[in-house]
Amino acid sequence: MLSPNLIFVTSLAYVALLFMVAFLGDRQARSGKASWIQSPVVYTLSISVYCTSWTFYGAVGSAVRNGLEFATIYLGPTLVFIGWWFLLRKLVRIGHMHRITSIADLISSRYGKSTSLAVLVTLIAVIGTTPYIALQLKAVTTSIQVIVASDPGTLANPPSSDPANEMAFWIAAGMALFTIIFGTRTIDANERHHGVVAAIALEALVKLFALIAVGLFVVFALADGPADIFSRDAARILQTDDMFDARWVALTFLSAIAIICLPRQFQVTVVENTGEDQLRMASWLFPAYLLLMSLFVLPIAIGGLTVLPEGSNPDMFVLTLPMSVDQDFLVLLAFLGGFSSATSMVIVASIALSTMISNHIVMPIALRTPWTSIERSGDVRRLLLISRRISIGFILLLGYLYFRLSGKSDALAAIGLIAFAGVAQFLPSLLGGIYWKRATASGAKLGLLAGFLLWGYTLFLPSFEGDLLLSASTIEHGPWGIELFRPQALFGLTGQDPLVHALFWSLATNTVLFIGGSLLFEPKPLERLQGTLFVDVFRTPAGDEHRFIQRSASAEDLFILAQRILGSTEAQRVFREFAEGQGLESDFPQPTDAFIAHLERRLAGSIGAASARAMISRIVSGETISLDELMRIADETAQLMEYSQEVEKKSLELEATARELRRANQRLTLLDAQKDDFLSQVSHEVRTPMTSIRSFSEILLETRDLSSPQGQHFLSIIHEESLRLTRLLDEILDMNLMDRGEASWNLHELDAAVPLVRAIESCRGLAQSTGSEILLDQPLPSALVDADPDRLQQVVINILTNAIKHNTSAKPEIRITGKLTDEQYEIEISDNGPGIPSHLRPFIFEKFQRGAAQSSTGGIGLGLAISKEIMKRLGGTLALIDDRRIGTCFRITLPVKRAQPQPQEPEAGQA
Amino acid sequence: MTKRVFIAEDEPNILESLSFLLGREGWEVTSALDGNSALEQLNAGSLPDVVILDIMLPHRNGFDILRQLRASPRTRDLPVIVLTAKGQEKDRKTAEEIGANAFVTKPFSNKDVVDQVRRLAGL
Amino acid sequence: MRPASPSTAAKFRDAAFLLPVAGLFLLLPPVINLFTAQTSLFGIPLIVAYIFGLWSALIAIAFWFSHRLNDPEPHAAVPPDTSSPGR
Repeated sequence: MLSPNLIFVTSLAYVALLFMVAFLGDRQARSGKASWIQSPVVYTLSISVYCTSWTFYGAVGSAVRNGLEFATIYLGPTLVFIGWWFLLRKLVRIGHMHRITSIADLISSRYGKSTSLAVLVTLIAVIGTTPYIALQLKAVTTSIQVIVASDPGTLANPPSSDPANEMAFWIAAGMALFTIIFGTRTIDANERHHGVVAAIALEALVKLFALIAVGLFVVFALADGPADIFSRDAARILQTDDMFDARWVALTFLSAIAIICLPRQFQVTVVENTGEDQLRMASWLFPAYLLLMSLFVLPIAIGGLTVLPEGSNPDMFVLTLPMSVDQDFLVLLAFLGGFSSATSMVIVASIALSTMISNHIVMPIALRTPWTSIERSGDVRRLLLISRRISIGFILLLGYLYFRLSGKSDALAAIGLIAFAGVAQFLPSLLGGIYWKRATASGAKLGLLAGFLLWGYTLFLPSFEGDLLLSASTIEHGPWGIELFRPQALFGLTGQDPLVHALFWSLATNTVLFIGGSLLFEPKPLERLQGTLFVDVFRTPAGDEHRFIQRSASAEDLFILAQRILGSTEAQRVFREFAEGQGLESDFPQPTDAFIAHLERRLAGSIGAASARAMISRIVSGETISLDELMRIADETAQLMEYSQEVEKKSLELEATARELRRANQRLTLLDAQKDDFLSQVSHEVRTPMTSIRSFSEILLETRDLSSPQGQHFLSIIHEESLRLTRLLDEILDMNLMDRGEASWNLHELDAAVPLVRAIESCRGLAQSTGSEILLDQPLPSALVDADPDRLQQVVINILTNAIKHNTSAKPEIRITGKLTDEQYEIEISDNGPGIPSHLRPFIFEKFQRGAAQSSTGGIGLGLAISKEIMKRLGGTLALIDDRRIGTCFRITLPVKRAQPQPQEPEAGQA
Repeated sequence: MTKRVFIAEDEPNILESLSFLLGREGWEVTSALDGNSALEQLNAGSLPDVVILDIMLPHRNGFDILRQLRASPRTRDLPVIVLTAKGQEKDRKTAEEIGANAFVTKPFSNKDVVDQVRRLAGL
Repeated sequence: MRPASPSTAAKFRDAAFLLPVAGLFLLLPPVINLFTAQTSLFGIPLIVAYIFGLWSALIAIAFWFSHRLNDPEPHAAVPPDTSSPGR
C-alpha cells in the first residue's frame, strides 16, 4: 500500500529530475556543444510525445472494449514514418527553409502569409487540444486517486473527480510553471526548445519502461508466458466479428493524419528538428517505439479481465493490476509512466499552442493597434515572451476548466479520437500546400472552415450528449426536428460509426471546397510565389524569393525593426554577418532585395511568417512581385528537371556504350593476339618441312660421293616433306574459305554410312603402321542424309587420324559406334589414349589454339576447327563428349532425311 | 680427339639432316627428341662440346632447357646454338637474354649451321 | 556510406514509396481479413501474430532503407542553419 505522501514525494522528485534534465539540456545547447541533445535518438524519443496518458492507460481500455482496434492508433503513424522520404522530409525541409514556427505558421506562410488563415488554424488547434489537455489532467488525478484510495470498492468503481479538483489545479499549475520556464526562454531559432526536448525524451523512456515492466509482470508473473495469456477466457476480446470494417480503415488513416497534423507532433517533428538526418533514424526507431508500447497492451487487458473483479475500470488496468497483487514498486513505476505521458503531452502541446497564439493572434492585434504603441514599449520581444507565458497559463487554465466542467461525464474518454478528427481538418490544406502549386488561400480557408464546422456539429458537440450547445433532442432528431440534419446521420447517412460518419462528412467537404475554392479564385502573387517555393522546395535554393520580390527600405529602418524583435545583440549580429557576406566592412549591409528577404525570414522564425511580412511591409516601399520572373523560374525548374533526367538517361546510355566498346576492344585484343599466335604457328609449321627440304636438297646438291640408296632416302624425305607442306597449305586455304563461306560444296542425298565406312577404311593403313586397331562393334546403320560425301569423310578421317596419332597406350584401340534415332544419325569415335587435358577441352575446336599445335606432329590444329565448321554447314554437330574417364570421345551427329535408304547396300560392317 | 655435339630436335627429318652434316665432318652426334630427355642426357653423361637446341620441343621447351643449363655451374659455359622455326625477333631476344651463344632460324643453310658449330667449338 | 549509382538510388526511392503503400494494403481489409481465422501460432492468435509480425517487418525494411535513400536533387544538403548557436 502506497501512502499519499510517498506518491507526492516521488512525483516531486521526478519533476525535480525533469527540471534538472531540461536545465542541463538547455545549458548544453546554449553553450554550443549540442552533442546528445541533437542526437537522432533524443529526437525520436521526443516524437513519442504522441503516446499520451490516453494511450498509456487508455490503450488497454480500448483493447478491452474493442479488441485490436487500439493498434490502428500506432499503425497509422508507423506508415507515415516508414514513408518519411516523401512527406516528413519535405515538411522538415520547408520548416528549415522558411523558419516555420508551427503548423499554423506553415499553412499561413504557404498561402501568401495570410493572417486570417493563421488565426483560423490556431483556433481549431486550441479548440481541438484543450479537451485533450483536460484528459491528461483527468488521467493523472484519477491515477493518484486510484492509488491513494486503494480498496476493493474503488478498484471496481473509479472515484468521481470532485475531490480531485484542487489536486488537478496544482498539477496544471506545476506544468504551466515548467513550460513557462523552459518553453519561453527565447522566442527564436525556429522555436527550438532543447531543454524541453531533453526532458520529453527522458519521459519517453520512463513511460516505455513502465509499460513494458507492467507487461512483463503480467505475462510472466501473473501468467505462464504469452501462450498462457492468450489461452485465457478473456482473450475473447479479440473475437469481435467485424473488427476490420470501415472504422478500422478510418482509424488507421486518422492516426496517420494525426501524427502530421497534431500541433504538438508538428512541433517536435518539424519545428524541433535540427537536421534531416534525424528523420533517417526516426523513420524506423519511432515505429519500433510504438511497437514496443503496444506489445503488452493485449496481455495487460486480458490479465486485467482475468484477475481483477468484474466491473473494474479497464482504463486503469495498468495501475490496478500491480495494485491487486501489492507490487508497490511496480505501481509507483506505472504511476510515473502515466504521469510522464500526461506531462510531456501537456508541456509540448502548450508550447506549440502558445507559440501559435502569440504569433498569430496577439501579434496581429498588436500590429493593428497604432504602430507607436509597440514602438513605445520598445521591444517586441518582451511582448512576445509575455504573451507566450500568459498563453501557456491560459491554455492550462482552459484545460483545467474543461476538466472541471466535464470531469464527471464520460465525454473525456472519447476525446482523443475527437481531437484527432479535429486536427485532421488541416490535412487537405497542408498536403495541397506542399504538393499543389495552384492551391490558394481562399480554397484553404473555405475547406478548413467547413471541415471544422462539420466536425464540431457531427462529432465534437454531440460528444457532450446534450450538455454543450446541442441539446440531446437535437442530437437525436436534428435541429427543429429536421431529420435530414441529424448530427450523427447527416443527409440520411445512417448505420455508420459516429466517428467514421463525422470524418467522412468533414474531410470530404473540406477537400472538395479546398480544391474547388483553389480552382475558382485566382491566387495572389505572393501565394503563387510561396506555392512555388514550397512545392519545389527541393529544387529552390534557400532564400531565392528576393528574385521575385522587389522592394526598398533604408538599412536604419530595418535595423530598428529587427532589434525590436530579435533584441539588439542578435540584430547587430544578423546585420554584421550579412554585411560581411556582401564584402562590406560596415555594420550595416546594403538593403538589397536579398537582405530584406533574409531578414523577413529571420523575423518569421520568431513571430511567424504573416506577422513578419506585416512588419516588414510597414517600412518598405514600392513592393512589386514579379510574376514573369516567377513563371520563368517555374519553367526553369521544369527544364532543369527534364534536363537532369535527360542527363541521367544519356549517362546511362554512355555507360552502356562504353561497356560495349570495352567488350569489343577486349575481343579485338584477343583476336589480335590469336592472329599473332596463328601467324607464328603457321610460320613454324611451314618452316619445319621447309627446313628438311632445304637441308637435304643442299646435301644432295653439294655431295658428289653419295651412295645411291642414301640419296634415294634423302629424296624421299624431301618428297614426304613437300607433301606435308602441300597438305598444310590446303588446310589453311580450306579454313580461310570456310571462314568466308565460299568452300565448294557438293551436297546431295546419300546414305551416311557410305562415306563413313570409306573414311574408316582409308585410315586402316595408318592404324596398322602404328599398331592401333579400329573396332566397329556392329555395322553402321543406314540412313539418308543431305551431305557432301568428301567433306563428311574429311571430318571422320581427321578425327580418326588424331585418335591414332596421339594414342600412346600400349594396345591402342579406336572404337566406333553408330546409332540411329528418328531424327538423327549419330556416330561416336572413342579411343583409349591419354585423353585431352581438361584445361584444353574448352578450346579444342578453336582455330589458332596453342594446345593442339604443341602436341600435334603434323598440322597446326586447324583440323578440328575445320571439322566442326563442316558439320555445322551440314546441319549437324561435332562435339567432344566429356564423360570419359579414359581416352577421348567425339560424337558426330547429322539430321536424318529418311531412315531406310532404298536399294543401296552399304559396304559397311566388315571391320 | 673427336668433338661431340648434342642435338635436341623433335622433327626426325631435321635431326637426320643435322646428324648427317655434322657426322660427315667427323663430329660425334648424340640426340634427344623431346625436352625432358634432352635435359636428362645433358645433366647425366659427359658434356658435349656444342649443343643445338630447338625451341619448340615437346614436354619442355628449349628456352626452359637453356635456363636450366645456365643455372647449373657445370653447364653454365656450355656453348648452345638455339634453333627456331618461328623466326620472330622476340624469340631471338629471349634467346640472347638467357645466354644462347648463337641463334639459327629454320630453314637454315647447312653451311651456316656447321660454321656456327665449329666456331663455338673453337675450331 | 557507400555512394550508390544513380539508378540504384532511384530504385531505393521507388521502393521507399512502395513501402508504406504496401503496409497499408496489408493492414486494411480485405487482405487483413485473410488472417482472422481462429487459429494460433505458438499460442499467439493468428491475427495478433500477423499484425505484430508485419509491423516488425515494416520496421526492419525501413531500417534497411534508411541509409540507402539519397537525394537526386541538386540542392541536396540541408541549408546550414544560419542562426547563432547561442540562441
